[in-house]
Amino acid sequence: MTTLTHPPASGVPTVIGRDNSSDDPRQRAPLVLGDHTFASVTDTVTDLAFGKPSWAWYAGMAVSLSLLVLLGVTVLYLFTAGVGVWGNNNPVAWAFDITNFVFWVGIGHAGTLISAVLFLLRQNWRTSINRFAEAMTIFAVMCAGLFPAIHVGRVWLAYWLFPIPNQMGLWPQARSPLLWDVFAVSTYATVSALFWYVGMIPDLATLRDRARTRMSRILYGIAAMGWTGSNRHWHRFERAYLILAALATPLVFSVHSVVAFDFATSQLPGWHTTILPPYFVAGAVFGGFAMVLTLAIPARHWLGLKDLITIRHLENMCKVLLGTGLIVAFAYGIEFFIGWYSGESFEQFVFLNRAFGPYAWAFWIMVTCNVVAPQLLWFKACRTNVWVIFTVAMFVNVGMWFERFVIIVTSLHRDFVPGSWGDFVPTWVDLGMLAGSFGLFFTLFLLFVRYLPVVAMAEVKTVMPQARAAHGLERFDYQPDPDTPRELRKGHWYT
Amino acid sequence: MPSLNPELEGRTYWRSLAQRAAAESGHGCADLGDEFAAYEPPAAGGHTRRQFLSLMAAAMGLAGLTLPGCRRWPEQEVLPFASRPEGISPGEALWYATMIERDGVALGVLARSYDGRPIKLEGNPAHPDSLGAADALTQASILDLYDPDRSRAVLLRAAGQAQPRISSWDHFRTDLRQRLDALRAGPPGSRSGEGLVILSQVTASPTITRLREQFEQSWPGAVWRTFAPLHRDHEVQGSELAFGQPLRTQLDLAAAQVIACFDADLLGGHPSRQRLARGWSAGRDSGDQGRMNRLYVVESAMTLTGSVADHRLPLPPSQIAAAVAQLAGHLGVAAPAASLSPHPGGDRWIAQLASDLLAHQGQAVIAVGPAQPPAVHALAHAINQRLAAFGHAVRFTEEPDRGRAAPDLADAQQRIDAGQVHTLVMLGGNPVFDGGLKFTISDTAAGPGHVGAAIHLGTHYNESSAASTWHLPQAHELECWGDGRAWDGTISIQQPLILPLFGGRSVIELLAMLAGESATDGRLLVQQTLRPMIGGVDFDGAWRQALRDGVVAGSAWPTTRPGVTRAVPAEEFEERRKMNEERGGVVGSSARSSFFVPRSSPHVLEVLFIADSSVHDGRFANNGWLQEMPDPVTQLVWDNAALMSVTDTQRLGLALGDMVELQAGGRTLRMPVMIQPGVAAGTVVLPMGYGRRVVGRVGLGVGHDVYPLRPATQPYILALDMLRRTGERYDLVMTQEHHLIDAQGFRARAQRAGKPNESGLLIHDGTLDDYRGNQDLFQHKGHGIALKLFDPPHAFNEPHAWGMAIDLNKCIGCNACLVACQAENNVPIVGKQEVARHREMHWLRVDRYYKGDTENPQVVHQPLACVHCETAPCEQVCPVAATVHDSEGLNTMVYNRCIGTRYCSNNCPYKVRRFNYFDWHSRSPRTTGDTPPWLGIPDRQQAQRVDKLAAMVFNPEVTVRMRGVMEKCTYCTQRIQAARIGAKLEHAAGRRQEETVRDGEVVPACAGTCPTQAIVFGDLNDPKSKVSRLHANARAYGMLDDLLALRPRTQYLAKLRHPAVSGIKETHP
Repeated sequence: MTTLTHPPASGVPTVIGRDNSSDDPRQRAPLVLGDHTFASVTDTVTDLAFGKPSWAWYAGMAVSLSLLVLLGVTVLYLFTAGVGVWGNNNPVAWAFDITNFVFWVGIGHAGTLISAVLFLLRQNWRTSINRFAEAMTIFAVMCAGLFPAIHVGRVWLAYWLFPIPNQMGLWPQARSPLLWDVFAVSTYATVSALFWYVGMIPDLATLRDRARTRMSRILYGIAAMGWTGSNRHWHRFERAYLILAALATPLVFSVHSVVAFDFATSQLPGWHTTILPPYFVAGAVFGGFAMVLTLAIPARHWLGLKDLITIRHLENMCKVLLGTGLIVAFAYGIEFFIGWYSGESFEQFVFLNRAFGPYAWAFWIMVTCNVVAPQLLWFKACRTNVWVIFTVAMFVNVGMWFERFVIIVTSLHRDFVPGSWGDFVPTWVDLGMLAGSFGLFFTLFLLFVRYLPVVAMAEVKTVMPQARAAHGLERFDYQPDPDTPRELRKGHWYT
Repeated sequence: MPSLNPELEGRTYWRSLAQRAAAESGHGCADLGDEFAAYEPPAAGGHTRRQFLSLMAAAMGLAGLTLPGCRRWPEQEVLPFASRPEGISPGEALWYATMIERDGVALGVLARSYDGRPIKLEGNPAHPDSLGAADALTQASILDLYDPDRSRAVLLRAAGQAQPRISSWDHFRTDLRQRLDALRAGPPGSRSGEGLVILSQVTASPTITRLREQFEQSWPGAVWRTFAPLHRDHEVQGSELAFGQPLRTQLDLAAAQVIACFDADLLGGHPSRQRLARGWSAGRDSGDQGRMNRLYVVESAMTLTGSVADHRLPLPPSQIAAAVAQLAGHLGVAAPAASLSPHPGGDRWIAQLASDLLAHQGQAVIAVGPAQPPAVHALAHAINQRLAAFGHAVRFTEEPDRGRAAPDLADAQQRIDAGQVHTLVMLGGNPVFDGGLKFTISDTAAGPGHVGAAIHLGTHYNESSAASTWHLPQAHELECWGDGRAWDGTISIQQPLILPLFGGRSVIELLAMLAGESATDGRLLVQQTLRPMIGGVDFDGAWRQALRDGVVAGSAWPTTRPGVTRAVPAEEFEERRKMNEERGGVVGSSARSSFFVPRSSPHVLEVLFIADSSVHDGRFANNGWLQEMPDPVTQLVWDNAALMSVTDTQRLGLALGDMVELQAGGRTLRMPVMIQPGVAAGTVVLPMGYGRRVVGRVGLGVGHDVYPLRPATQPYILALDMLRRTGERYDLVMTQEHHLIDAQGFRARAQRAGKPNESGLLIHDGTLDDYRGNQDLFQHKGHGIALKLFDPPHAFNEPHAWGMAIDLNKCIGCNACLVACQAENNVPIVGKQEVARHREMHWLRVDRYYKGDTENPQVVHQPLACVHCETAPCEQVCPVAATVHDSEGLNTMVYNRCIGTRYCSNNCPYKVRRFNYFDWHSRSPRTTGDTPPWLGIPDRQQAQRVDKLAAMVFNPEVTVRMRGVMEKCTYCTQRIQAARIGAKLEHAAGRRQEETVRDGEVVPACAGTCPTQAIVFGDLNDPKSKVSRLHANARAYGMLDDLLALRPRTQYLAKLRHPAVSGIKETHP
């Protein structure tokens, strides 16, 4: 290890134990803890791909697969019997289906934000978490894409939503926000997948090089696309990655804006508001970061990644969560204000009905989870306590699902003409499919942590002191944590 | 079938040892019927393609070739369509005039038939009780023709056996002959036919009357009794009291400026309701000229008539007599003294009514309903005479109903109890269920309560069939010949449009069989009857004319103008008074669980039995359209409930859906409670006809049977001994306000419906006086949106601009439009569970709003279907362009293109789009959820899944929608298209100048059947068209148009109310 020249300016260590959340502006806090070298980072990550999974992985997989089977069964039932197996009805023609869709699309946003926006903004702390945040994006978009496809009445004709040339010369109707959705979400899925994959190529090459079996060598080899690590490759890679990041960045804003248009362009009170696009984007980032935290906290524990995904990473994400949470809370308030300010009785009723009508319970769950719970994150003690963070993140996950439920169901169930009012009650298929979508998500995620590089090794190495040591620009006052077991630092499966 | 070559025969499978034995002995499957009671051999039951085709061909031949003569073509003589009969084009609709009789009154209908298959019933404009409109029940009765649960075979149940077995008409005929021979011989000293009892439904059919006379002559010992659960005994007896002879009241509401109804649901429950509604609406029509009739209603239940009243006084049933008596006092008609003192404001209300009636002598009329005792009817006649109504608004004709339904049934029961009945013949109806008739079959017929044999003729196997020896399938009205008389006596001929699907016979054919006549041809029987009555010299010509018109012109009874000859007996009123004053009771425990009804306190509870708006007396229990038709007032579907007032339910702590036990005279009944605004405090309203025990799959066990509580002596009004909450709950399903609405929703709904006599956001409503003072009363717009931003204001008008106007001032909420739409457009039913999930499919719904006081609210009925917005919000959100505008302003729905995103429904402010969550047509309405039996592509499977018989009612001009597509009102686009094609053909043939459609040539199903003509459709391009004039009316408004700039093509006309000038406050006891 290179000698670090400058002494600490204040004599205050930036890292105490495992806590690297120092706010001392004079010092840059380390983003990788532990006694890590480039080799040990590689070991840590590749061992996850080649090592034997722990019981926790198997347990998680068992639960996820069960839920995935439930999803399969409910979807098959839906296909054979009709969408009537859901609780949707005539005033409430959308319910869990579109709620789940918007929920899952929203989840995806944090991944793209972390990987693209933070990349462009040179937020180095993104490197440890961007890989699985992006993976989360892909899987969430897959879950999201499922629902619009199966929610249509004649599911065998869902492909008519795509502009496929046909002998009748019929094209989709470009004025419909649902069509915009099709383009927005498919573009988003494509770019995200590409971005994820391109960023993974150097790491896949590392796995290829370390693969022990012939089959994995071949598969990782194909996936690595002949990566040799030459300067030319790195150059091309950096360029491509930057371009994709620039491409993906507007998508963060466009996708959820378009999803918001589904509601905002309609003329239903409660949907018909111009605030919805920014509100949805903020909400999506909010909900997405909550899901990243929900995944990161157990993952860094069970996968032994506490050195790479440090408490500082978590704290940064908490700050994003708090900030976007405040935007969301503001949007909730503004909706009520505009409802009142409009002087329009239908508009006023829908918001009063949200807060005090038959679905008031859902509204207040939403407020509690999305407005009240994140306020804990004003306190650093809370932002650095994984239990508090995890609890708040879970609250936000629940709250964001309910936000979509409240927007969709409470606006629909009582609109203009009281003669058409009706309630929505979910059926077991509704609940089963919601749970099943989590099964799909977690199954994919568990397969990801089992077979692919969970952390962007190549990128993490660029933010380690060793990467800049030659310049002599940075130093860390690093004290190894004596409590950290060796096997953890080595990246063995830690149970 | 065994192969001829035994060696080639494959393995033989057998179901039971018995079958195997039978097969080996060469009897084949003959014994299947032994093992399976419900087994129907293919010949009697299901249809093969070949049978179906031959049946259809036969029906076609019948309808086309033999219109004037309905011969039962023997199968071998079925005519092939090798040469097309003149005037018949395959696939083109033909209309036949016929009739349907209900409660002894013939209702004229036009039946639309495609290729020999009748699919829709509409009103016959020439018929006095239709005037072109048909009520919901009449229209829905076509569904019974194709009911898969219809009785399909002659069934014989031997004594002591529980289940009947399939028999045949021949077997029945043989058995009948033996029985009649035994009766003819009889024991020594007896008259011929003694022991034979015929129980017939109330009817005015000339042929049945003729056959009855013949029968009574040839069987002097036999007795013929008539029965109807919803009888008019009191009304007939009342006219006897007043005039000394039974007379039928013929009301002409168009001639009345002031109408007062006392428990009389003239617009919703009267046999001649279509005509009365037309008359009443004529008096509303002049509202724009500043004149309107005024309707006063005193009633206990909330009826349709009450819902459109200008003044309404809710009183418990026993008090209505007092109200009439008090009115008589004010008018100087001799009557017992009566006071409405327990009801604050009641006396003043009656005084106001009296002065209004007096001010309109000669133009005022009062009516009393069938539930009221004869004395009240008699008094009403005296009052009408005092008001100089005779000859104007009230005329009298003879009365064919003898007014003895209740005593007749009691007499039949007495004979059975005495063991005097050898053979009981029930000609249709269901007296075991709705009359409480009890008998046991035993061969000896000696014991009390025993009959030797009971023969029941019915379209369905019902409770009476199950109790009988013989069940005979009755032909549907559209399958057989018959005749009947309208309320005013006009004769109609019932002609068949299709051969009996299951070999049923009509009442007259069975009667002919009983008479031993070998020829039992219905047509000849009817002709024999009518020959002396119509035609004179040229009977054949007159007969053809009558068949074509649906009525025999000039056959109405002559009107008479009697005078009230007798004083009204005071005893009746005395009894009523006693009922209120004398009976004491015990106030029960303070807990809410039970209490006794104290008669002398305001805590009296009385029961009023009413006909159910859907199942009538129970006969329509297996009719899915009617089961799913929401009650116009309660909006209840697939059920009945004890309707109670808000006061009573609050006092007793009862909530919607609480099961209560009712007790009266030792009889008990369990019913769910429904809180109904407008029901008089102290009244429990029980709709009859539900809770059928032996019926098809649709109606089995639906609702609660209230007949057990109903004694023959007090058929309509009954004092309740006890009402107790059982603690159980029951799910009542309504299409509106499924659950009790919370305060938030209640306020919003009140704001949208408006205050009493004032416009709300959605309902425009005001008094005639305010409107007279300010013609712009209903034109208050919101802030509005400049239309220039959007399309030019006159788009979609080439060459026509279709539009509709619905006059809320004339709508009585009768649901006729709803059923018409269902029948015309192949709208499916979904079942109670699915309605509970708000998935009912009606393209047209009739929203009902209350205003003001919960005890006696003002009511608005608002029929709502797609309003065809010019700037339709549904169209721009559909991703696959499945809903688009046509050039004439129709918001069309392209089913083929729809993939079912349901976004259009979300964006529809009226929520009138309906989504097929399941394959409704192929699904039993009684199942919950759906059981998927297949995995292939559903697009190709529907045809196999829909019941073949049920599918026959489909209108071939309207696509049958499958699961997963959205549907909604099309303004009956198929009818527009038909009119367009007709106009073009005529133009091409040089018979008309223009190629376009003229006003009045397109009539959508709803508009066509509206009894008050509240719905008008036409071309807005034509400034002279009816609809254009209505859109230009000062009362016209587009619902939500001011807010959303939708430019709906359907406009509503504001409702006018006409309270008395001096103003009497609405009140309730």
